[in-house]
Amino acid sequence: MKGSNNQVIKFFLGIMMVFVVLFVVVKISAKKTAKTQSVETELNMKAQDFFLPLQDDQPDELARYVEKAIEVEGVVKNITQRDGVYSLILEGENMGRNVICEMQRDQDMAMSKLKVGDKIMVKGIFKGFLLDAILLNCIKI
Amino acid sequence: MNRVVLISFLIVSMYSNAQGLEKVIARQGKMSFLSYTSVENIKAENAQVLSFLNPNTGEIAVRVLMRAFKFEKSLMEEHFNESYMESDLYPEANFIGRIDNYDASIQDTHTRLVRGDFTLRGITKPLEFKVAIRVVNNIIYVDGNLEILVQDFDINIPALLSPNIAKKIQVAFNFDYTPYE
Repeated sequence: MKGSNNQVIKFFLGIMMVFVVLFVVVKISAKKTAKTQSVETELNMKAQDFFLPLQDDQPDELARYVEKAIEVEGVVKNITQRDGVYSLILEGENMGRNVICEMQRDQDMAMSKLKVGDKIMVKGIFKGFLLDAILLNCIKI
Repeated sequence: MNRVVLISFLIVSMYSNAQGLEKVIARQGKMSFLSYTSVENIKAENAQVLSFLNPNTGEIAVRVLMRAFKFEKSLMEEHFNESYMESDLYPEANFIGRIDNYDASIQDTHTRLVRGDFTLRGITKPLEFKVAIRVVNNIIYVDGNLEILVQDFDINIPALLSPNIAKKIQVAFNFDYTPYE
């Protein structure tokens, strides 16, 4: 009798373990991308400074900041909105290279007050360079 | 980063030789892909794709930063960059090609074939696809879709996850080209 009770307890413990593991797996796999507000800033710079390493022939100076949060100060050159997402183009250097900040969706209020020519500080996740420097999930700070 | 800059300037200078019409650029082209299987649909979007078009010759160049694809779930994005694309090693994909019979004077929506070479994960394959082109207020709109075969680009998918990822990935894109300043 005692043996069969132990088996029942073991069975239910086993079932509970399966549910706990499933819950953890589902939680991890369904995790959304972290909001930039909660990510620690790794670097502060001006928009033009993104392109200084190129002039100084220090090719990979910024490569280590890919996927890291960077705070950028710059002058708004253009504001675009596509599919409900704002992007800011901050003036870079004279060769037509700029900093593109794709804003996080919760930034609509701040963006609606912004004008071309305004000076702004944004924080975003640096993704690398194409012609321009690209930052995603940016927030106004 | 030097290599990236060099490619950009090569592309720009290539189009500087254009005669007649101005070279045009899409700084914020959009590209999305969908992996559709009965187990799971995986979708991602990248709204920061760079493209140049030479309206005189129909030559087209596209550069895509792999880490700029946004997924619904962070784990999908992590797998995409770390395991499948190896984005640290191969940070971008490129396409260089030509739009057949491109005629910049046609404003209405028309379809053209694009042929060129697509490079992903350092592997280059020829690619052909159709695009729809229209011109409104001097902006050239180009959009289209194509299929990429996973096996063509040596993408290593663990056997356990194989049923979750389609053999053919559907890619859609649209670019709005404006004069390059």
